[in-house]
Amino acid sequence: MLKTPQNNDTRRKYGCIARKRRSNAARSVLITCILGLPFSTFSAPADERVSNNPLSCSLADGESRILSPQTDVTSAHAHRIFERLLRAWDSEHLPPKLSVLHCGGRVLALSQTSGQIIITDQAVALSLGGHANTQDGPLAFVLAHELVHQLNDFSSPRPPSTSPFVESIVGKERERIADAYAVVLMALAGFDPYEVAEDRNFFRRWAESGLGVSCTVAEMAAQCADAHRRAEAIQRNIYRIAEHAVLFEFGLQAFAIGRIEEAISAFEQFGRVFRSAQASFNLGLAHLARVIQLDAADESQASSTARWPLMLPGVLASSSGFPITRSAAQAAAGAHTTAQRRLFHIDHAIDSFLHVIRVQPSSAPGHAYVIFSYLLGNQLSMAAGVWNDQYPRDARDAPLAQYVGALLDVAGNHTRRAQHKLRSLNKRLQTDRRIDPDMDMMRYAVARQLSLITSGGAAGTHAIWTELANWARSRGRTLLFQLALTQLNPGIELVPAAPIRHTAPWRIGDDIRTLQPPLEQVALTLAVNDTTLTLLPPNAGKVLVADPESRLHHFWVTGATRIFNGTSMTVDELLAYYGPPDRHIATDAGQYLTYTQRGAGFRVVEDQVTSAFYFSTD
Amino acid sequence: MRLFTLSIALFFISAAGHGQSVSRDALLVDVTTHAGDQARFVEGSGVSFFVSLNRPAYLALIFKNASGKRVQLYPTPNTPLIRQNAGAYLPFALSSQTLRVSAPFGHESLTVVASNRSFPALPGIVVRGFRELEWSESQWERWLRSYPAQCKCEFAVGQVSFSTFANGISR
Repeated sequence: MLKTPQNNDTRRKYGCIARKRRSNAARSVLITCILGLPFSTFSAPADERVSNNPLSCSLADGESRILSPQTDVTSAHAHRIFERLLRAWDSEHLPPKLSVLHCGGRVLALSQTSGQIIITDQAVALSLGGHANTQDGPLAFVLAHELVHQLNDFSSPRPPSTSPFVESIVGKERERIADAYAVVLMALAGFDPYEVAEDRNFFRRWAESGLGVSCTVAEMAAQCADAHRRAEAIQRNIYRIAEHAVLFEFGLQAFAIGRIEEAISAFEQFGRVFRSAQASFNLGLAHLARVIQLDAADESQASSTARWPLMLPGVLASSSGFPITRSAAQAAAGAHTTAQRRLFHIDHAIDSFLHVIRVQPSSAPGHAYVIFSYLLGNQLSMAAGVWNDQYPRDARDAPLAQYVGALLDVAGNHTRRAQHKLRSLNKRLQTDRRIDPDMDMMRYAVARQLSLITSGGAAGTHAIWTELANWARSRGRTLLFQLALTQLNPGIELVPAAPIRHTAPWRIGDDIRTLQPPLEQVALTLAVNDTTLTLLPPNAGKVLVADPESRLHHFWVTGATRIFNGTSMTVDELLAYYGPPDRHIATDAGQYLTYTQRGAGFRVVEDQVTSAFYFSTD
Repeated sequence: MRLFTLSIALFFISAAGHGQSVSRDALLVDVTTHAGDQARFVEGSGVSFFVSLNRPAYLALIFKNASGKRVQLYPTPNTPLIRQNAGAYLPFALSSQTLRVSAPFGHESLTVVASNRSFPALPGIVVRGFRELEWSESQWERWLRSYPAQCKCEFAVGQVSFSTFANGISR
């Protein structure tokens, strides 16, 4: 599981407080901000339009009103997208609040210094395009753009200046920088940046909405041409940023497949340009995953001195998957080299999690994984030091903290005490109302750890998994139920293999020079050890990765309708059809379920399959 | 759902010591699919059933398809009656015994009846190795109610429902 580096418990609590405060004064604050106009807007034309007529959208005139997400479908949709984006909110500040406003026919998106983001229902509709099979990318981009303003323009202290890479593309102008980082934020939150980068009509629609008339009117030709030029310039920039931002998605997929070296390279390259807590956190997890791979492949003295392996929720994929790749030279190098490599990855994991803590000092996951890294590195006293002195006080009652305490005991070989803590946590998790992939991964990790150290033998282990299966079944948590079934019936295929149902336009190993339609020139390269992979420019929702021999190494397809011949698929339907995945991770960008024997994996967002990725099964 | 593979043989892998957490006072049986209860299966899906039993017992598994027809999946006419061991979530369909979803689609169910005594053959005709029951819904329900008294035996019933749909159907 790749969890948010933020402290969910704390964030939720703060969110409640913030909502209460704001709800009391929402109406008056909103009116003030709209009249005062201390905001930036998504598109320059819209900006000008508001400036020209700032009083045209005010709650006072009776024409405008806030649309509640509880009663209005458009508002609910915008809030769902916004909540997803907030997973990538990379700041100690409380996240902003979204209001969807009916404002006559106005198309506006605004960010205010008060921490309020406003979008009109017409802006939502325009972003969604009004089609049946609409994509969320453009709306996510608009909201992400406003969120970036909140991060960059209103935060105090302000985050470090933008990267040279971004400035080389978009310059230093505030709106263009917000465009660029909006794309990055989209990628971090699991949206496809190409949905907006490739949608030419979207920018034209925005440009025209800013002008206030259709560009089919002859006398608007000159203004329209200018607006379109600006829109195209924005789009070109976004496209170049998106090319780089997809490295994050590739890293997650590589992690989900078990190709950890590729994941590390992708996260590192992404993080060099867009340093963020998410990138650092995932990079740290990838390094820990590599340590665990090394331990699994090599039973030398290099591994942990703890009597039992440690089950880390963020790194725990189910069994099988890809074994560690070792060259003959590596194998010959022996245990000493393995120990050095192990140490290398642990050191880098600690560095990565410490960066998370620097950005978000109250991040409980950041602290937890520093502790886990020390435990894997056999530095029990360092781990205990972080736990005793630095772990956030207000997060010590959370399940994650309870798990940290249990793993400290496991690593210290205080087995009886660890059993007691884990049993208590197991009970607590089954009464916890939070039903989401993160919590499921915690439940699974606790059951795995408890089954390893339980003193009840096979019957005791069986009781743990039966209990989890019963719980998951009663709550409709299909993946967790299947994982428990797999533990109860090791070695059997839970469901008979069904024929591949999704469509894959190409085959792994194809020569990319022969693919149709012909592909554009190289986008960017990614060095993985001594191999160079090439990420090619996207093509209609597909991103390709080629190996040095120009063979298709990996690719992914976004959009459920592209994957399932025009239909969609829920995660439960996917699991009913394909059975449990070989590997799975839960991330802020979505859940990744991988079927390594089939060479296919799926990303799931809010219980819907949103993309599929394909890779070599060699 | 139709059965493509006709050779459904013995299905339980028993594990001694399973099921201690279940009450020993009464015979209990439970069944679910590999995707849990109330699952949705698209055309072509394989389906596995998992049975939980608190004590060793004889079992009969009756599948009801979307058009209301009942087929006895186990025991088949040629299967010897064997008392199954107790256990939790024991797999019914192994990979060699493929149950695949096909038309007619809709609401379907699998009923498991368990007893400490073996079941008599239920009335029906054998089609492709499986017995299709001739009973109406009311006859079936009457049998479920009256059988325990008739046989003077311990008796338990478990059932799982699920739905099936055609590929490409908008849901």
